[in-house]
Amino acid sequence: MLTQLQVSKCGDCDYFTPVDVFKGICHLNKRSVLTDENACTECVPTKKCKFCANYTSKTDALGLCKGITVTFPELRTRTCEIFEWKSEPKTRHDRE
Amino acid sequence: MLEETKQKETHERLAESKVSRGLKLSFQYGKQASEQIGSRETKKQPTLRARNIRDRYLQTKSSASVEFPYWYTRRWNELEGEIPLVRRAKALSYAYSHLTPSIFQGELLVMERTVYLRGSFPMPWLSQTYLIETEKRYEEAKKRGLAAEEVVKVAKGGGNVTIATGNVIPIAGKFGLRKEEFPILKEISTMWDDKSVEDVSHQYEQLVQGYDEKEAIMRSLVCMYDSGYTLPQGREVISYYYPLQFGIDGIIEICRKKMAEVGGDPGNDGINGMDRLYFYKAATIILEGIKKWILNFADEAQRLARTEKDPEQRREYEEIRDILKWVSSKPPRTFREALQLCWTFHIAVLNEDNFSGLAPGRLGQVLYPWWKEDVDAGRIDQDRTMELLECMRMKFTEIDLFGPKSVIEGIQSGSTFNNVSLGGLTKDGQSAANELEMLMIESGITCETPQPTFTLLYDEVLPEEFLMKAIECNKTGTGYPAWVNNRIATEFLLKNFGPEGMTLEEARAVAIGGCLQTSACTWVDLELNGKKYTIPRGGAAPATDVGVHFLNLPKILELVLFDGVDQRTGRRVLPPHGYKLETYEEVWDAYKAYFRRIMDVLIRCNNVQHDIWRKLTPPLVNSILKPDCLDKGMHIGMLGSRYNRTFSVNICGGMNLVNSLASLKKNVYTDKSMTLDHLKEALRSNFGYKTAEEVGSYSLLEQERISQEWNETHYRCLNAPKYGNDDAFADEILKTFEQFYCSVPHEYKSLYGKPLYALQLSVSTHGPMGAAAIATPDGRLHGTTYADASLSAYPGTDLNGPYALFNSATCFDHSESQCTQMNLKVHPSAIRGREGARKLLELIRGYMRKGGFHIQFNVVDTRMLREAQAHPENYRDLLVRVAGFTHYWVELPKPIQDEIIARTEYEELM
Repeated sequence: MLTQLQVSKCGDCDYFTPVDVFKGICHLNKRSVLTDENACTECVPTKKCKFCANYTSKTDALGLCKGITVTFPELRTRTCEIFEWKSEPKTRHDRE
Repeated sequence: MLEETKQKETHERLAESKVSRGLKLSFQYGKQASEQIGSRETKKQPTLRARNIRDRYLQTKSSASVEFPYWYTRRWNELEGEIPLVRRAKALSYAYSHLTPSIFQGELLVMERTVYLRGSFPMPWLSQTYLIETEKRYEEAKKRGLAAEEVVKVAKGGGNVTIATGNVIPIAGKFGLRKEEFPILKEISTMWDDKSVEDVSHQYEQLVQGYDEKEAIMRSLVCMYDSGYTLPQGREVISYYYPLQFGIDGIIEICRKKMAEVGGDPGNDGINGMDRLYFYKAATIILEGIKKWILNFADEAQRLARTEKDPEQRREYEEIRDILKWVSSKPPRTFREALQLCWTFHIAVLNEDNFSGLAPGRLGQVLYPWWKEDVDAGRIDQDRTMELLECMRMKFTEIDLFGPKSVIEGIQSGSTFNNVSLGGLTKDGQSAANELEMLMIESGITCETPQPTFTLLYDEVLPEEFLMKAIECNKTGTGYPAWVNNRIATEFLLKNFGPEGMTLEEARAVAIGGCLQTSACTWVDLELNGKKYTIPRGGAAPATDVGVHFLNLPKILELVLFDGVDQRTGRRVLPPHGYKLETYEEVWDAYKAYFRRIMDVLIRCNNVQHDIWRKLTPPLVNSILKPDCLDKGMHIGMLGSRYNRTFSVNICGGMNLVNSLASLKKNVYTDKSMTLDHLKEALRSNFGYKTAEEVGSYSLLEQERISQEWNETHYRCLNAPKYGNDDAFADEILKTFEQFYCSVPHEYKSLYGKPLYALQLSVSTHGPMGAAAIATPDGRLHGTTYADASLSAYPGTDLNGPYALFNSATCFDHSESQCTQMNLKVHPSAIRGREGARKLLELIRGYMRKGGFHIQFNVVDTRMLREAQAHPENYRDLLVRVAGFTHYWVELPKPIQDEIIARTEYEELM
């Protein structure tokens, strides 16, 4: 399960703050990085629907929340009350 | 040299056949400019913090997010059967509280509308047909209110995203959207099919008598857009008073008390009285959502602080966290907290509806008590104030507005019109200017950004030091402050709102909403640390600029001359008018008849749209803030505002109409140098030129002739009397037009049962409106941009200097309409040094004393604009004034750029 939560791009990382649709800031190294840039070894997943136990996929770009409500995998869910990790996310602390 | 060469070529092209008689056209007034490109005199730098933030902004793309519409729609769908007002509140509240917070390094003020720095989002509950451009519904919408989509040009520079790149696609012309979010956007948009304000109002407007004519009018761009589902709010002043005085918890407590008081009691209103309970309930739900939204940002600050290694940046995150936690419930204690809370509510209002032009109003006077107490207590100094004010400038500049390109680009050129008013009078008629406003102006000089723009409310009692500071700011070339005549503004308000009870004292609270709209405000006593202050309170009336927008005046003349048939499309728009046009008076009578006919059907359809808007998506956040909604328990749509006469009829191309009427009168009916049929044929033949679209240039400066046949006719049309020269022949026509236009809206009523008023400003509509019109009798060519604003001269036709222009402009009473607008392009050398500054101030005074309402300046060398057009990569941060707003040159569409280049450049002010 852990592999499902591994971050492949900067836009999936919790250290990433999006500035616009192309890029964002990495808070670890203060660099401007592209959203679709390959993730580095320091990256940890941020909360998104696709990392949530309540999410089931319908198509590549659409899915369901709790099997009922339409949603999409890339939705950021840091503010969602019902978010549950699919499995424990890999954290920097874990690696250390 | 380039400019002179261009001008020479133009003269040769335009007047080849009759050079000896002299063409009355010049794109420069006064002495010849030096050969070097003239630089702007005032140039200062922002603080390092603001410079870094601005640099980041200049590299940021305009980005669309689907978070807010997703959460709103998700919650909305769960609430079938709920009371509509409460359903809306719950959906909004859910959306606020689920937005992902983003905080960027170096910011002192935080919170954005979306997760992105320059983010915005569609509101499919208002309008959704334009979102999916491949859908059939979009094609249908273009036959109605979105017809301008076909002629509007979108600038490709700056932050605009116009081509697909990697995982980003452009939508609505200029916004970048992550490709993976497109399917959910499509899904959400489809959910609103037949439920959006656009769709439901279209269903009902078709029942209005004459609807088919309305559709033909919109399709031919005789009118540009439907305001009810595109920009239903805005062009108004926000009120920050309640949050500042009571804090969010305090407002919730007021609502709870009110609920207990009015619940079950209709009062004296058997129709709407019971709704008060639901309004207060809705208000508490929304406020709880906003509170959660703020706390989410506090949590984000805490999260960032945890991983931050730089102790200074960590301290700043912790400071932000503490400020947000405090203002999420309590009234602010310091200037910074007050500024943060104002900003939070500003974007809270922007997120509830499609607003264009939500003005902070007299912000320097509203916030003065906090700032003064901080200064007196030693909590803040000038440097820290400047840093905060520059950060504020960046936050307002980051605001982006989403909508159809016909609206966002066609009307606004991407501007958002967050106008801060400066100066003006106090309640008892003294100067209201203060030290904080001086620093605000200074921050506009050091940190040149388009927002917030400034308007100075000019009155004779304002101190010279204050006025000269504003002139120094004008010399930056940013175009702000605009200068507005406080006396005329007050007179307009009293005429307009006097019947609803406005007094002179209250009229003095005036501020500008949107780009230049005179907005009703009021006064309120504020208590801070046991001291009482009287401050202006914004927003005593709703949106000033909704209704019939914008009427294409030269296009109506085209319909008159061709008996109701649009010559660009060949379609019939109106039935034959029945006039033979044998005299000038008949032309004018036919014009008035068509004008009334157009207004009649447009107003009634517009009323339906806004009625559907207030029923389906009632304005709640804005209503909580505005006087007197919370007192009455009624939102804006239910006449909760103190004043409610705010619907208007807006026009575009006025000076091309006046010049065209002057040409007709002179050439056809007075001198009889050509017949009307001959002139009509010349217009149809575009005087022998290619169209602007064919040439790819949109001013008279650079057009290509393909036939010599109409040289003589064109020459006579260009040389006919023109507005802006103190020429009685042309000015009398302007005066007659204004007397008609300023009075006729009073004959019609808005959905609020109040008469409409006239409103004269163009924003950017003079680009697409001109694109939709064939050549006009004044010599203007097919598809070229009209004169900007309402009282600016058509480029190249004001030959006798600024004071002659002022005489023409003030030949009628400016207080008879909402706003008149004049732009002047001044070469930097004309106002250089202290002597130049004084000349400019005297020029402004001269105009105001003659009764002019508004004037603003582009201080720029035209050759710099040409250079910037040729090499935009070197001019990312170049700001220019367009028509009531300042914007980045590289983000302006070419028809507007060309028009600004062509504007007469004043090399001297005498």
